[in-house]
Amino acid sequence: MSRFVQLHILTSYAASNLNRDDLGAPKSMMLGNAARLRVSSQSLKRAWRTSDVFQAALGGAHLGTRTKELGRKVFAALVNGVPLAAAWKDESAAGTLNALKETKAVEIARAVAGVFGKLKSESKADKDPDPAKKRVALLESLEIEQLAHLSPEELEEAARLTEACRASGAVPEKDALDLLRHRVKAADIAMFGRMLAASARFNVEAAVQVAHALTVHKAVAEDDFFTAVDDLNKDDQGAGHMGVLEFGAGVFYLYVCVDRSLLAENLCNDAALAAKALEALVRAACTVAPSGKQSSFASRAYAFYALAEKGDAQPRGLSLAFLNPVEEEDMGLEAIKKLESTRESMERVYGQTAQSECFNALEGKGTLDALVRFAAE
Amino acid sequence: MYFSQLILDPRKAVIDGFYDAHQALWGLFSDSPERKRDFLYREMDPVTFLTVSARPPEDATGAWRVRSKPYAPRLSKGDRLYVSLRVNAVVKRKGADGRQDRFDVVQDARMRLLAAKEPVPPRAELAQSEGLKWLEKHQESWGLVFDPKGVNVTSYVQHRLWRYGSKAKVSALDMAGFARVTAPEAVLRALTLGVGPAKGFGCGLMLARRA
Repeated sequence: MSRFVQLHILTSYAASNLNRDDLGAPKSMMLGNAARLRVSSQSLKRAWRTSDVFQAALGGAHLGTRTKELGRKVFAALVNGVPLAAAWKDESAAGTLNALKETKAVEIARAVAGVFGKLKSESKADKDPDPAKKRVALLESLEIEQLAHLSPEELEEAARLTEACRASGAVPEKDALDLLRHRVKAADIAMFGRMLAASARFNVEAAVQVAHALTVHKAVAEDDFFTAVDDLNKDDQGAGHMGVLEFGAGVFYLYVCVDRSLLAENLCNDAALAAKALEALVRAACTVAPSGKQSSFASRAYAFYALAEKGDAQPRGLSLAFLNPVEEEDMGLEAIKKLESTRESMERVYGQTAQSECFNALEGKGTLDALVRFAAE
Repeated sequence: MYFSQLILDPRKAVIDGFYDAHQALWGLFSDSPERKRDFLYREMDPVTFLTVSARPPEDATGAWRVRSKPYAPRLSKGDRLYVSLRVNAVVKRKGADGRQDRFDVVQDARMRLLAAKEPVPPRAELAQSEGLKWLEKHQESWGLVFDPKGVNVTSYVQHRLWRYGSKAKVSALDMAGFARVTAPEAVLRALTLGVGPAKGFGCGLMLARRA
């Protein structure tokens, strides 16, 4: 099995503002001395992780949950007498199981949630005369400070531990707590990694590296308005150019590198699950757009070109192809041409021949299914 | 009128002893210190400006690359434009001391939500919704109708500028969108006289092109 799978993807987004900085402007950066629009990798990963494609392929069983609320859910389960799963859906659900005293439940909840991150400091609102406020403060104090990414197995284990504590009425010991995190089989955690500030040894190194997507061409400069004055001074003779580029339209190049052996390792060497994860990743990368401003722009688009490479050689992106911004009228085809010729030159120089597979929707060649199969097998 | 693109050569500017591009820009249009502002400008990047002015800019220093064109837009009802604006979008209200004051629309919306103890969305989101509201309130006086789906507020920035030796803070919204001309005369007025306050600080120049 070759160790690395690399994806090179070209997608054209029409008027859009996919990924904004804190001021709302489309993100941008310089490459080859020309400004480019950029979509950050965080925003891409989030879009894929939460996509229907991931849900359909990996379902609830293999996708993690990002939450701060484990502690308050365990607490609610214990004091309201319901299983953890029920408390997860509705914190105020009441049940018939044995209900613990609040002080004990707080201790247990803090112990269980504390495994996945530092908790907020203990409630100081104990003396608040308003019981509702007191309750809110107590629940908030049980939250983890930063979002923790939990696998389905870990949530199950937490539920089991909650029941054990309910039965024994005791705060779990260290060994019981350690049991919480073992065989992690959440595909998204295996792919994109996780950091648990509280216990570094349960961090997961990401098996999938995602570069920021960049336009292959220059982002339009606003001082084009100077040129446009000539059109304004004439009577309207049909539209000049559409000006849609200001909205962040463009052809984006995206590079993704998958370390397949690390992915398999992160998934406890479950080869079938690793293949499934890889399939979902390729599909999502080709079909899911980040969700910024979708309501105003409906900027959903599929990749028009994707190239997958498999091999053991050190991975390398091909953004080199776009160091000189594409300026030709036929941007899509020109981008493909540049990408392919750069790849050939690189292979010639470094004496490499990686297996590859691609599709090209501009010319109707290849299929997504074939690409997915190639990447996953 | 004249539409100009002005690019400052920073090396020459330093040799000539002026460091602030904005100050230098005023020099191009003022023949005497008493001259009132009769131009609009927009900073495109720290050394590039677009201006609309009654007189063509005159560069005595040689530090500017000046390109100038006569500006006489010929618009008819129904023309479609792509319009880019940097505006100081404010609402005028009586302040606590009873005097009329100007409040920036984004900050104003934040204050209202905070006072009502409602969740406050990020500034970028408020800038989009409040900017669009401001635009829709004023577009009629400019003779334009914007397509609300095609308006994008791209930034909300507090600009700190020097003028007459004192520092001023102006919050500016950058927005752009597609609009249809309903009253050509009014559009012409907006294009040549500018829109909204803080024109001396680089706000209010309406940039347009046919779309």
